[in-house]
Amino acid sequence: MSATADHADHHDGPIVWPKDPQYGLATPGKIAMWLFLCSDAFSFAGLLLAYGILRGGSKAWPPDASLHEPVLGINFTAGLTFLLICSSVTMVLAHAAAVEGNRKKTAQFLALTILGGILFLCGQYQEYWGIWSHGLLHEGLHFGASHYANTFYVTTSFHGMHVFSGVLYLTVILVRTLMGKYDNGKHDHIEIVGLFWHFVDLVWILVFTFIYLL
Amino acid sequence: MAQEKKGKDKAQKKSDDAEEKTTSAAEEHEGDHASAKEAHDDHDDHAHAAKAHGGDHGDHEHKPNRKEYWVIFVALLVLTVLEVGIAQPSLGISKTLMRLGLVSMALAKAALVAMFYMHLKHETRVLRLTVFIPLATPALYAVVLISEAAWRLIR
Repeated sequence: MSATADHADHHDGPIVWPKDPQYGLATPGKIAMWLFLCSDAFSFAGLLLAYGILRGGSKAWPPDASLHEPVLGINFTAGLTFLLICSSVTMVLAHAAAVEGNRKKTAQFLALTILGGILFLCGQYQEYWGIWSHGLLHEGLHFGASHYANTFYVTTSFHGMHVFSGVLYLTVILVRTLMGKYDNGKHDHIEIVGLFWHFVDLVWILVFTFIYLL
Repeated sequence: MAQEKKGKDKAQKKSDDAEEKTTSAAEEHEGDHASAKEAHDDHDDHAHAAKAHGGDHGDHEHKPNRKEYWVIFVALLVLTVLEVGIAQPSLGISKTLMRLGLVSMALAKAALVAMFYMHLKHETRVLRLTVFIPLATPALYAVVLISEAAWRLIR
């Protein structure tokens, strides 16, 4: 661990980019992921804005009491929030292990992160369709019936899609970790998948507050 | 650049004996450092691969700090519990206060995740601004459009 920024043209070592005056030593991949996340954040911002405007312009929420739409369960989704926060922790621990060059621990923490994502998706399935109890659909929250139902389903399913793609992305990175692709200090892919995963967690924090709690 | 080239031969020698041995020795030759770096380009050695990835992220040393990660985890947990707590209608606090509290706590949590888990804290100022400035626009947009919708309702 020195404070030098040497180039390493080693075929097996990390690719070290020259230090950029603006972006420091952030790899092009990392900068690209940040730009993608910004654009993705705009997609979520659009959905949340639509929700905010529709709700702000309604006298009551849910807007039509005669539809008898169910109230969103807070306690269960608070559990899902907790789950995603935990999976963020396992993600940073996977990255920390990768920085230390510990392939086994990296793989273990990545696997735990994937498990967190899968459990979250199961939780969302339970919420929509019900596994051990009635889901929202059974309780009368139907897509297309009201702004309340539409904004809820569009936003949460768009987020669920991100969790799903995050799980696939993490699985690819896990397989590559097990193949030893990230040994010798080439761990920036693990940090980049982490950026995506933390973003999914971050968005859920906002969705949970704006759609469920407010 | 020209200066670096001049110092190249000298640096090469230096790097062969002094710099290779210890980190601190290398750091003492701060002046020749840039040129030593260049001289090393042709070298193919493991010490450098290890060195290059480990330490330097520019102006900020960036090593994962597990303790910090757990502190942030606890903070996120406490904020979540607080949020769920003040969202209970039985508590009887005013709706405006509740909403203000919830929104600020959610934004605080999002900022914690971005700064610590996504390492924005360790990135350069320019990268931080590249992320934050564009995101300020939907926030502004939200304030304007939602208050406009609400205003039309009460008008």
